[in-house]
Amino acid sequence: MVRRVKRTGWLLCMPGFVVLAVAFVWPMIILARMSLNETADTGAMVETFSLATYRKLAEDSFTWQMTADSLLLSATCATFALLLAYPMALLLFRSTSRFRHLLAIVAVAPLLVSGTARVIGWLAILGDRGMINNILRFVGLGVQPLINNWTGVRIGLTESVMPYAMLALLGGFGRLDRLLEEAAATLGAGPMRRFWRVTFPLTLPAVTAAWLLAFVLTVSAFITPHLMGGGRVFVLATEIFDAASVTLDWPAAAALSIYALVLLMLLLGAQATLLRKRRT
Amino acid sequence: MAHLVLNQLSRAYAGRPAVVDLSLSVERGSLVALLGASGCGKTTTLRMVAGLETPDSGSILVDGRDVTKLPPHHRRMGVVFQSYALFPHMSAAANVAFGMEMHGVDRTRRAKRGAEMLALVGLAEHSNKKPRQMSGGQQQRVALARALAIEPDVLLLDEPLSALDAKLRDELRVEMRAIQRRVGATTLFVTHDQAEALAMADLVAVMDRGQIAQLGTPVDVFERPASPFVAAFVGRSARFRGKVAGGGVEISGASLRADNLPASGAIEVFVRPHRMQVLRPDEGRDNIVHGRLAAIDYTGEVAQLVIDSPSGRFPVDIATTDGAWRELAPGADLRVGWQAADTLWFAA
Repeated sequence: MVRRVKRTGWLLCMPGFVVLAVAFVWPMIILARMSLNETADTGAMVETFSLATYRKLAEDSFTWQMTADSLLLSATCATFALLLAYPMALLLFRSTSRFRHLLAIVAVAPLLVSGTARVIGWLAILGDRGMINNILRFVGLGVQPLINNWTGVRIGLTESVMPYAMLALLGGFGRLDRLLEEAAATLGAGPMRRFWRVTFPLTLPAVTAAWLLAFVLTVSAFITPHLMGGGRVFVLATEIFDAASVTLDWPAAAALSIYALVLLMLLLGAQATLLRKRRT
Repeated sequence: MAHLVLNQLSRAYAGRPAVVDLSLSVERGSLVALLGASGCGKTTTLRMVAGLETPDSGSILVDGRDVTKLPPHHRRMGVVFQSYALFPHMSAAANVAFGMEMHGVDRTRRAKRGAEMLALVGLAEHSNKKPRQMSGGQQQRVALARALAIEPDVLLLDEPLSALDAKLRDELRVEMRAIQRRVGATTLFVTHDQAEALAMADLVAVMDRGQIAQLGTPVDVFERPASPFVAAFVGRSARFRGKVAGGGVEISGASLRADNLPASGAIEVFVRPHRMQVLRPDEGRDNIVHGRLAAIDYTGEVAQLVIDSPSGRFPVDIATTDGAWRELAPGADLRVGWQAADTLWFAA
């Protein structure tokens, strides 16, 4: 039974609020403030209150190209990650094997390895002298550039968000019930129609949630595009990093960060509205 | 030729037999109840008929056609599951139309027959509701309408009423039986509730450890149980153990008369509690047992007495109509009697 929480219950949330305020809200305020500064032509930062940095970014066609590239990359990787994770998640969800938990751990094991280590692994697999290209050379297909370009970043990002997509799917499969498929079978539905008419629609909320999670993670991913793009792949996260620590243009880095944040929030908001519309 | 024939069906799980050599014939349009405790194999039997479980051996015939090897979606069995298994993302109408769509019924006929089916179960006004917006009883009716909509060869009901509260269960029991009669569906009905089985079925198959212990009409299995198991499982009984001697059954403290007794041997006697009476001093019966009243429970229509006698503790039900039960108090010494014809016995 639900017991009404006393009015003082919110006090329990205080530690969490304090951490959020100190570690998230305060830095965001500093970031927003920084984005209103200007950078002089000499590269020196000028303390002021203007939108000059934003204007400069907006007038630069590179910003828009990069935005489009970033979003397309994220959408592609999120979609591929989901296509790969969905059958695995479904298998795991339904499995009655006693190795089920072991399989689940194996499926999310990549999370236990640092992003940098994984990229080094990919170099060994995708590099010009890597495993795949050795095989391609052997069968006479020649060397394919699979790393230090967009292809490499797509492969790396897809792999890195797959475990998250898996977890999100597994968590969202709650409404799925084997009995519903049995019911569909007795009503004359073959395996394909059972999947598309019953199983898939019931997992759709999980699919949406998992796709969004993967999308957000890829938009904000930095290590993989940075290391696997070989300096030829420009996305929002790498640009922010470059501005902050290579060109030391802090106002630009801050403005780009705020821009990326607003962009994501708009996308999530639009998606939430769409979902709510469809449900009613 | 029977409409549905189960022929020596067997199924084991990990070496543990669930259904053993089970044979059963169901006539067209009749309702057969599989009655048994949980784990007796009744649900496994139903699932094998539906095609959701593969028998290890034996065969299933519908209209003489062997369907044993057919997957469920090629069988046309209308199944109502215990938890209904309604599609949560579809309205009541869509749930009912689903099976027809799978069987290639065109849209206009689907809509027409779907509306008819929902009207049949009394839910015409609720066709646009999702399952979660409906009560348990309404969901149960949608499940029945959905199963009937595909014009099934056989209707399979797996404890369809067990998730409902008692009053609604009784109402729906009558209603389901009426609908089943009206559409003439050959029906296999799984239940652990003997009242449900006796009230609804043309024939009751009492199941025990994967086999049919007795197949008979509701009156047969209750009045003329074929074995001590059936006598004990269907309805309550007073049980006495004794020996045949001098044309009667000798039990501790009494000699009982019964019809068609053998010449000798150990015997187990069953008497239904409602067949026994508490006797006044001047009353007589074929059989009389003395005992002390241990407890009395008033349940409305009857008062259930628990009586301790030299041959053990046994129940007696007395009607509450005349109010005589009020004069009985625990500790009282009573004479309990019944007629020889009401004495069921089995050689022990």
